[in-house]
Amino acid sequence: MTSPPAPASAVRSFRVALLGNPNTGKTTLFNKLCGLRAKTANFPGTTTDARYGTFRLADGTSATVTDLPGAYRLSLDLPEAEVCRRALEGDPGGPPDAVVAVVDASNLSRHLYLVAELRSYGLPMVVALNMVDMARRRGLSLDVEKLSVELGCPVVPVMARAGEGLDALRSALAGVLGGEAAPRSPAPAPLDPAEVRQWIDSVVEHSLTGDGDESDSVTERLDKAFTHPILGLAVFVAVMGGLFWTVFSLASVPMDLIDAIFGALGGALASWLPEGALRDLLVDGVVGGIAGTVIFLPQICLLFFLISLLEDTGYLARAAFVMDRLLCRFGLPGHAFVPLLSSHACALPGIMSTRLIPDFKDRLATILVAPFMSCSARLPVYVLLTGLLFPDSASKAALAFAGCYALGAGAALISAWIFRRSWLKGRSRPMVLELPTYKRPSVHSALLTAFHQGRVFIEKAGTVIVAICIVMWWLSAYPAVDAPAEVVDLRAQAEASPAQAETLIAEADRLESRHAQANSFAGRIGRTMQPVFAPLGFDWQITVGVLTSFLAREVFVSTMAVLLVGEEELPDGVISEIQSATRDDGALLFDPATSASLLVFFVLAMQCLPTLAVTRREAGGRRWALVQWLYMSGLAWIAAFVAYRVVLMWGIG
Amino acid sequence: MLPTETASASPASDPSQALTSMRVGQRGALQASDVTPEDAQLLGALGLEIGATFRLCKTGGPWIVQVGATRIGLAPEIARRLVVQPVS
Repeated sequence: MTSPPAPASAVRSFRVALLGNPNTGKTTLFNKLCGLRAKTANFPGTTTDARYGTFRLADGTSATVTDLPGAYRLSLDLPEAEVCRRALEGDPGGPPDAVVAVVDASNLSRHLYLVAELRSYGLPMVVALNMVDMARRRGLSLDVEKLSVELGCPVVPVMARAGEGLDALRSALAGVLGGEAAPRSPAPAPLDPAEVRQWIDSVVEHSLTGDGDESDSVTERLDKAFTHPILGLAVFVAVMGGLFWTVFSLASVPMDLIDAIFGALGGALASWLPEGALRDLLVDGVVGGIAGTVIFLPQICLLFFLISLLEDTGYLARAAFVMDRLLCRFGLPGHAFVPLLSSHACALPGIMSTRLIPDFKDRLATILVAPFMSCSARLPVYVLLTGLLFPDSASKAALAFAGCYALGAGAALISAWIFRRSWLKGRSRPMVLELPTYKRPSVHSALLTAFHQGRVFIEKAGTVIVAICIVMWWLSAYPAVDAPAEVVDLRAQAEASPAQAETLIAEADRLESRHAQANSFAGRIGRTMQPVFAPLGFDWQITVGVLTSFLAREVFVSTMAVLLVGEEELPDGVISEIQSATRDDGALLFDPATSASLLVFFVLAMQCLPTLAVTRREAGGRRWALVQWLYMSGLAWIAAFVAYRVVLMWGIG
Repeated sequence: MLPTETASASPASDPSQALTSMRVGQRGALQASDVTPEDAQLLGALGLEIGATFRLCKTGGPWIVQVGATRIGLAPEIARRLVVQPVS
């Protein structure tokens, strides 16, 4: 006899909202509860993203937990507070079944304000009392039982970083969701600020002993050093230099591995599949496209891993003040530092993180200039073009490479200055920032952040970029055209004189491939648009590469490979193939002046469709996305033209 | 800017002064602020409300004050606009 199916309520997954002040360890707790079972999604109708995850309660019931953005108070007129309010009010999908309020035990008084606000919603609540170890070190003694009575809900001491107290938290949640223990907070707390303060004082008086605000000499000394005008700047340069050095040096190993794996895969496919359109599509379009994108994954993951570690230590808040001195001269606040730093990996998370900037004009100015920072997608183009510019001098190529970063950052600052004196008139808002406690960073959380950012990038690569590569392959391979008479003659000559056959056939293949590409859809588009880019030294082939890279920069190298290598076998190195490519008149395609102008163009141009989509969302309208696209592309054209003329006149190196 | 607000209780007999005239290690109570409503809200949410006592940890850019266990970094422009009263 089979048991009856479980009633719907028994298999129901509860919805739990996780709230807390910034720097309370809320996300660390979320990571410990959900691990890799987390996804990110945007709150409908907002620009703020949230992470969702599932975990099991103590009774085995499944719960979906939402990691809401950190908010000091729900009543603040800030985007993160609004998202929290909406989630608690049931938008979207109804109110949560329970709330977990994460509270810093070492700073109870301030954090209870949010708890008071949460009580007013009347939802079942559990208070996760985090950082109890730190509270103890500060000489604070908490009576958890009394605190629970005062708050009218279960209070569970946890140490999120160490993963301690999680089972108790799961049990407490199961209890309030099952209606067994304090299912509802008692009467809603008053929301008049003075009354809330009175209530907090009363709760603290009954449950806490010690004041915990004694000076900490280590923190005092570190703060003094890290925010010092000269020493602080030196530390900042050393930390950022170390960060980028680590990213570039460590990422090269997995990048070479990925390159080798995809090279072998392409080779295997080329040898297994019969010659024809399917083989070309898979080898040149799909494998080539994916390889050209996935190769950046190690750099992106590593950069976010290190940023997450740095953020966790508490240093980044101090660095923001160091940067504030520089950024405020250009109309940007110190808050813009983290978004600009993140944009070195990818402008998408960089722009998304601008929501931490409280002032709208400051936020908008940062959004508009963030894509100037050299993202990972530009790296292969930089590698290619600096290699073409200085083929015999690795040190000059490295200098040019660093120059690209400096040019991007300089353009961002100067553009911000221009924006703050025109469309976004005004000065940046002076900084008020909580300086979090210095802590040992959580490697677990940093790994999850890197994993999450890597997954977002792969999802993007798996859709937009691969699709572009496939479309590009199709545009460059069709329509099929008959071989020109010159090629037919060469092949006939090869048959007649076997001694020269190899040379003649090679020349015939080259001419046939060029003829096919020139008459393909891509070739026709390139020829039509080429006059726009002719002053920059671009021929129709480069024009096609530039046009496709307006959708996503990283496809430039693969587009050039598809266009210039054509239907031949996968080359040993794409760079060597591109290096020797020629124009229709036989002149070198990537001469120094063209390489220099193309490099400058790629540093400054807005060539990323997903970034424009995010700008539109974050800035609140397509007008700003259009401004960003026109401004960056216009500036890129002018600067590339100047670079082209300068190198033509004076040469390079 | 917000109109200047003044704390109802005077914690000491010393005259009011700008935060920027305090010495490191000195304790004070926030008596008034002349900042934007947004900044006043944020300062309040961090615990630096009218009447709140704090300890000055660092002078110059940024000025650092500690309220309870919260350390707050303040741009000089904000620090100049906070009127405080030293407390012993």
